[in-house]
Amino acid sequence: MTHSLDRFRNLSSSFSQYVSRIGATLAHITTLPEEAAPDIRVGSRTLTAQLLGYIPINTAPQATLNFRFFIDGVQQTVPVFRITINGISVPVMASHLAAGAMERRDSRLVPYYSIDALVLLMPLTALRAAGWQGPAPPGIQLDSTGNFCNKIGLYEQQGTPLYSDTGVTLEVFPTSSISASELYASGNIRRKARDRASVILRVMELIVLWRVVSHANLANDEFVLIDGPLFMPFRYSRLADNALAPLESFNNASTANLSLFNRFFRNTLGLVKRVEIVPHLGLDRVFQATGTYQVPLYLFQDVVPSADDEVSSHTISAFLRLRPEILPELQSIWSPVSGLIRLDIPFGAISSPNENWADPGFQPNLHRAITDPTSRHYRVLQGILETALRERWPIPESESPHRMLTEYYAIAETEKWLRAMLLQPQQIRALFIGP
Amino acid sequence: MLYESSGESTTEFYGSGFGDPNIPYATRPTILRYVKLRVLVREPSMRTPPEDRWRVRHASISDADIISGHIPSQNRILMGFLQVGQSSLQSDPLCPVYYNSELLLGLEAAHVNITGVTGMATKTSYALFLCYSIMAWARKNDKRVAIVLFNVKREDFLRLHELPANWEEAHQWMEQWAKRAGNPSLVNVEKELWEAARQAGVDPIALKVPVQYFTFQDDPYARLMTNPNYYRYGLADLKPEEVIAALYRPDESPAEQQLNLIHTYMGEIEGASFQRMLHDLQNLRRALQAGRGQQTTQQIQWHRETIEAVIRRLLGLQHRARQIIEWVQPAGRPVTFHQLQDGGFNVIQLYGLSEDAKKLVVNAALRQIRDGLQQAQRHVDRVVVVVDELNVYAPTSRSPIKDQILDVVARGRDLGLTLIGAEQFASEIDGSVLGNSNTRVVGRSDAGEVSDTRIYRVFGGFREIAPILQKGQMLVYHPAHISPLLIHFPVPLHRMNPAIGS
Repeated sequence: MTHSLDRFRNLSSSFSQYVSRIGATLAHITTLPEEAAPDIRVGSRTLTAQLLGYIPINTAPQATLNFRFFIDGVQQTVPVFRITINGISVPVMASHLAAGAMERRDSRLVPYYSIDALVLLMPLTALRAAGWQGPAPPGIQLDSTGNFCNKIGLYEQQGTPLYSDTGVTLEVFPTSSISASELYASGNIRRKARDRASVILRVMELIVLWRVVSHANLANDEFVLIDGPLFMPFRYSRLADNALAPLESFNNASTANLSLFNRFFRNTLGLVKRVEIVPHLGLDRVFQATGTYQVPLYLFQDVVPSADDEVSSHTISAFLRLRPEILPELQSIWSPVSGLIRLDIPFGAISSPNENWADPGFQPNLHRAITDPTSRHYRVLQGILETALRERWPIPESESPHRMLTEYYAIAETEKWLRAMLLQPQQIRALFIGP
Repeated sequence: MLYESSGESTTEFYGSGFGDPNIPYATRPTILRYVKLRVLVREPSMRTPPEDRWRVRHASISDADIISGHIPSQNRILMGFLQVGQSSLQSDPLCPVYYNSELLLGLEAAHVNITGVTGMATKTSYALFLCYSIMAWARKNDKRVAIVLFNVKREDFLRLHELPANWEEAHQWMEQWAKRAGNPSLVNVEKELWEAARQAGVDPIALKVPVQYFTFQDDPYARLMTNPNYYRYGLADLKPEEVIAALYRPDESPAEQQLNLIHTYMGEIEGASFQRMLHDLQNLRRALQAGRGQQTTQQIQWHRETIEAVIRRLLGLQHRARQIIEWVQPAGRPVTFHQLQDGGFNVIQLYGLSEDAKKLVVNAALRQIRDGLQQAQRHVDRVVVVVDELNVYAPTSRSPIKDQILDVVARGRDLGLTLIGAEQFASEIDGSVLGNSNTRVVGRSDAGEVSDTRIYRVFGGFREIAPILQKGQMLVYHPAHISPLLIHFPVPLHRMNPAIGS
């Protein structure tokens, strides 16, 4: 991906003409506190989950598998102009988003694939409901009809502007999410815009994952690591492309769709570094690191939506601490579960090719697998966990103690690479000012 | 180019496996290389700063004309070589870079200052290389230039007449020299540098620069010279400033009365010898002791203490500078402007002399050159003077001993005199001497000196590599180029003389 000068010239021309046409007021250059420093939530909820058992792993393990790809997404969302209607000033935001995958080749990280999009986020339906008669923004709308993959492709190739109406949902049958009477709540308008940007970013991460699993010829022992809960991007798979719609729910997994699910879940893992949901019982052994770890494995029965660490069915949740050695050095860490990460391991990743893990009636006998060291499930789980622990060195360069405890170096580098592509807030605003 | 390594957080330590560097990484940490670039030249000439995605490539040998393209060919004096190509580890092409003679020797010229730590900075080697470059330029352009080299350390500028007969023999010298140095790989480096110098027109063997030596009686190093001229200075050969410079230490503030006494005596008594001056002052002192109070010369009254102080100084000088002082006769055999050989090296031996004697010789010789260059009828138009340990003659302290050299430095460019001064610490040099040096050369330098001394500021980011420069590398700031340059130059051929080892 390159920041084509022509593309941004087109965008600037379209956006600035639009701002002029509707008589909007350009936004001031401010960074709101919640956008500059989001809260870090750690261990704030407990949930009942089935303890599958513990797997012992060495604290100085040899890597038996290969975490080959690392996927992440970043965004820059800023207010760009305001529309005044009935004496109410309504903020309109714009978000520059980038998602990409880095590949590790011979211990070196190299960019593999990335996409970006600049999207205008506007509560269009709510504005019209309030009597505003301005035209829709220029370009293509990212809405409930989906097909984001092709729409973002048009943006990348031709500089076609993108916008999304934050006043309606992205469900198959969209409903209003902001009423005309709610337009005065500018904080809510901004939050809806940021949430919409996050959804689009998840879709973009899924598009990147689609590219990786389709083109990278992944071997059985090679994995793709997604930054965040494994299932979160899949919730929006319909929006990416209709062909991926079945991936929205494991309930759709059937024999007919198994190959599609296998393509995405056989080699993909999720890494949650901000653990908010912890099981009721059983984490005690995580905090007793000696020569070997006892990694507890859980199965959450239901999908529990959450901002940062959504849990899902058909996924084993493994909890471990990457770097307990440095915890005493970090005085600012106060939570007992700080440094805890969760690895989301889908059933598909530990099953043999002839196992129909996606069938609703499938019940992996994980308990037997753990007590039987010769079983495939045990070997694969242990391999994934040992490889995950081996990834803890080096530590990414960071001023955040939390990141020093929980972030993988490769993920951090992927994020830096992507963040370097983003436009600065002033640059995004400049697109709306015009020449 | 400047490479920096920085670790801004504690993760540098923890990142190595909690302090264990032997823990293998799954991912090798990314190394970001920040390269600071200085714009040396632009083609086409533009004034905008580098931006966007300008293409960057390594310089090549073909860029020589671009780098020095703004210097007319008849003005090019070889400065040294830029190493260009992919890596300094490989045998990369050497790209010649030049001084502009107008800014080095012409009417717009000032002086050259070379600084760096003794032993590692190769200051005198570079000064000599520059002298050969100047001679090659003078020979090619039919200029009348004489070079005066003050030899202050052992054999620095001795044996200059003993060059190999041809380049085959020179290569043999290089091999033997590298063997003695314990680093045979230096042979190829020196061969390439000298080959590049020859292609650029600086060939010491072909130039056959005549060498003339001036030394003092009983100099044990005279055997390393051919037909040396022996110099001595009588009182009549000197100016009061030169006598004063010899009598007092650089850090000394002589009493005004003593300086006045010396000036008055030398002004009153023409053609006196040192012996007679001593006798006359002793007579004055005796008259005072006989109770006749203060003594006068031309209505001026002198205190006994003043006279005694000057007598003590004279006796000290007689003792410390006996090799060069003609005590009995008024005149000796001073080094004169007319003796300087046009198109040749004129080496004046100072090694083995006391500080007092060195000051006397340097000041007297500079005055002779200055006066000679002012004559309408002269055999030389330009004199280049190489002075090592410049801090002895132009210290930072306020002292009358440096008056004469300051005058030479200030008026040099009008007179046709270029001073190539060298010293270990630039901070010990008078500010006006440095200020009049528009060409500044730095070899390996003391780190503290680099950070504290103003001379290094013109080198910008380059000054950070001054403490790690290798022998044969110099940073050069010359006004013909908009950026300082890191140049390479070869070891002087006479330094590789096998006779030195034996």
